[in-house]
Amino acid sequence: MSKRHLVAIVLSTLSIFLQACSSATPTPATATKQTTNANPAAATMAPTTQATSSVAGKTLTIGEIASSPSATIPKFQPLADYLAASLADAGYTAGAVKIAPDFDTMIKWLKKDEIDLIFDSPYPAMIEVDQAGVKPILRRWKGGVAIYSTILFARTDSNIQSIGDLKGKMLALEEPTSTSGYMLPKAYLAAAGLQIVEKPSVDAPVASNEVGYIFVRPDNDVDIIQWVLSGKTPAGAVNSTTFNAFSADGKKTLVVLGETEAVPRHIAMVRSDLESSVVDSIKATLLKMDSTSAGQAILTQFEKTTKFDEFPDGAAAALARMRELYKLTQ
Amino acid sequence: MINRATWPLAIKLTLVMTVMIVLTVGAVTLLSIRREQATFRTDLEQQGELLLDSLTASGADLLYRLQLTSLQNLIGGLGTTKAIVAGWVYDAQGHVLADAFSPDSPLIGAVDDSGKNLVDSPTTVFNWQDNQLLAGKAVVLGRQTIGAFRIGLSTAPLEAKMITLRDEGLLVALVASLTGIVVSILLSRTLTEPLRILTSATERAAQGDLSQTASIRSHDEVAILANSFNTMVVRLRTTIQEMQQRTDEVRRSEQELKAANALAQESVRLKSEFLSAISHELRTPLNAILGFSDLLLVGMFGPLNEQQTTKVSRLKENGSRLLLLINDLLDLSRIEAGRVEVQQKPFAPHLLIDHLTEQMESLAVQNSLIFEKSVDPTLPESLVGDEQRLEQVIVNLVSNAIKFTREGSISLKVWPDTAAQRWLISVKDTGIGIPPHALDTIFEEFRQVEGGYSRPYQGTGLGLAITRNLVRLMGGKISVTSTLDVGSTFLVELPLVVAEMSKPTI
Repeated sequence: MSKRHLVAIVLSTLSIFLQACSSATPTPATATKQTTNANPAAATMAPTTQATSSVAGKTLTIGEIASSPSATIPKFQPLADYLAASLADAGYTAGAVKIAPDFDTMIKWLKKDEIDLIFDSPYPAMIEVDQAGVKPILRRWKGGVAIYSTILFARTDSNIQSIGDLKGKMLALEEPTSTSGYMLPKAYLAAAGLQIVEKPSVDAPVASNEVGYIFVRPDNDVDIIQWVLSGKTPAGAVNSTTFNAFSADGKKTLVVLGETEAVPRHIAMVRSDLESSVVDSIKATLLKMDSTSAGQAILTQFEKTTKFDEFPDGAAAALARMRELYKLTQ
Repeated sequence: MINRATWPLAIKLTLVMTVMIVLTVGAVTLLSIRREQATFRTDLEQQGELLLDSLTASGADLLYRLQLTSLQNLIGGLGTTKAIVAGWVYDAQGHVLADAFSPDSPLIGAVDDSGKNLVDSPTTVFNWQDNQLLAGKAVVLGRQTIGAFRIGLSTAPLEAKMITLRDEGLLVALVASLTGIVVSILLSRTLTEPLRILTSATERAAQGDLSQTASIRSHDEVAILANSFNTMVVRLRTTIQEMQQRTDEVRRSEQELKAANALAQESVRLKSEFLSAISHELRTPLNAILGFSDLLLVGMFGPLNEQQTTKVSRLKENGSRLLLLINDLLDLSRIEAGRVEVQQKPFAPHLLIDHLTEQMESLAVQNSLIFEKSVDPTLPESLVGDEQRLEQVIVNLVSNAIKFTREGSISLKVWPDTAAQRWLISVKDTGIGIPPHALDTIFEEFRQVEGGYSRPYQGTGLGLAITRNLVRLMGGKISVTSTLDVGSTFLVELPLVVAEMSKPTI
């Protein structure tokens, strides 16, 4: 082996050693680095947030009552951004979404004008109009439907075949501020001359001359159907959209006891002191959103809304019928 | 000062291989440790990212509602694995809302720079510290940053793993190095032992010991070299033995040759002495016979009849031929015995040729031949040499030419070759010629061309042998060219030694 070969081998080995040392350069004990946020929304939204904070301008705030802000805000934020952008001439620079944990909080926010725009079903809309002075402006085709009703049902193998058989039985309802899950079925039964009484639990006794009901407060309306199927309550009531979407096999085990009248599916409302030009602009934007692909995409994300339109008989008429039903239940 | 050039090859190889093994194993171990460390750090960052995502998914609503107790419980629950050693929740302004691992910390409610940085950062922020990795991430809902989560992941497992890896690596490096050293020693010995054996054998061979061979058990290049060396030694030994034998033989032959030569010389001397003695003894009575024959023929003892004259003439003729033979034998024996000395005296070649021409021309005419003489005028007037022997040479050659020529001519030509310091004499005839196979033996004793050519020509067969010996004694040489039935040319070359007296004066 010549000296030249020997030197070459030693140098090669040293290079491997040095490479190992250089690639193994220890990271400083304290080092900071940033990686791309796993949440793409955060990454894309942040610049706008910074712009919002740095530019003085008005923010259009949409309010919503939901148990999970994290699940709800992403559905509403695109619409808020879209509307805010359409109101740029009016000085709006950003859209925001504010999630209230309950109905009372929302009423409080509405009264304090913290909410510019809100969407709700007819019964809570009626309350919000009455208590916070918001103004209905358009009908919302939430879930792709303009109107909806409530289906009252029981299990086929039960001895309940009509609403008359509900006497002495427990009925599963959604929550006390729900149109289809409370006001419509309660009014329907009241109109039929049945006395309906809220019970504290499913095991609470129900008198033979009354129909007991309990609020399930489900995460999903389908849970009420499951309650009936599982026998927790002998009967239940859900909106027609949910019931019709239930599986055919599942529905074979259920008997429909009755269906209420139909009411508007959802109502868009603005705070009472919002400038009329802004209101008009919002209405115009909402009405033509379904005519553009960008608008359709935002509407779809916004709880599968297909479009907004004017109330066929006017907003006052829609709320007037709701008031009548409300009175019927008192 | 250590002279590394004198180190044995095995030590050099072992040292080099050992250094290489130690360096390589060390580098690989270090590389492995560092890569494991990098992998662990990456894994820990990914773990932190996942935990932050989980916290965001499950805690975003709590943060939105500012349900601090639930948040505290949520983050605190992560610490049960001991992998999480710290956890903070910040509001949208960077205030500390909850400190999961020290809930009574006065930091709660204060603005923490880290929290402020987190809520302003669109990306996950990692901060490596001595004993933990701090990973933080803002929680964004829609357009709204509602706060941030920050957790501390313990690096104790990393340190423990690195210590284990380091210890294992060092152990492996030590074992590998020791193994490598042992293997390199064995390998070096395996490689160098045959070389050592071969070197030792070569040194012994160089010192003259050709009795041993290099015994290599392997089948590699060194074995081939050893086999070649062994073959070379065997051949060298054989060659030397053969040379010794041949030297002995040559020495023996030389001695035998010397003895034979001495014997031959003695034989020649004895033969010459014998011939000289016998010739002398023969010539005396033969001269008497010839003398009495002459007397008889001239009628000293009375007239002879025709038959007696014929008989006596034949007696004289045969006696003369016998005398000629005896004289030739006597000359040859003298020459071979070294008793003929060539004189170096000035003589006149022109006069010699003229004198001889007179004799030869008459003899030629008697045989109906033409005799032609040509002497170059540039031939010096006086040369140094033995005139008598020279005359004998020329007479022999011309007599031979006449004897073997039936018709035509005999040419004698003499000329100098100054450049070669020689002078030349040629005798050319138009005789029967000499066959090619006889040209090599024509100058040997008792040789005449065998066959039909020589039979009609009488002679002793000693003339050309005597002529050649005389020419050699005079420092010259003789050659012949001949063509059958065309003729022969004898050429004598002699040293050109010009006598002082004949040198031209300038």
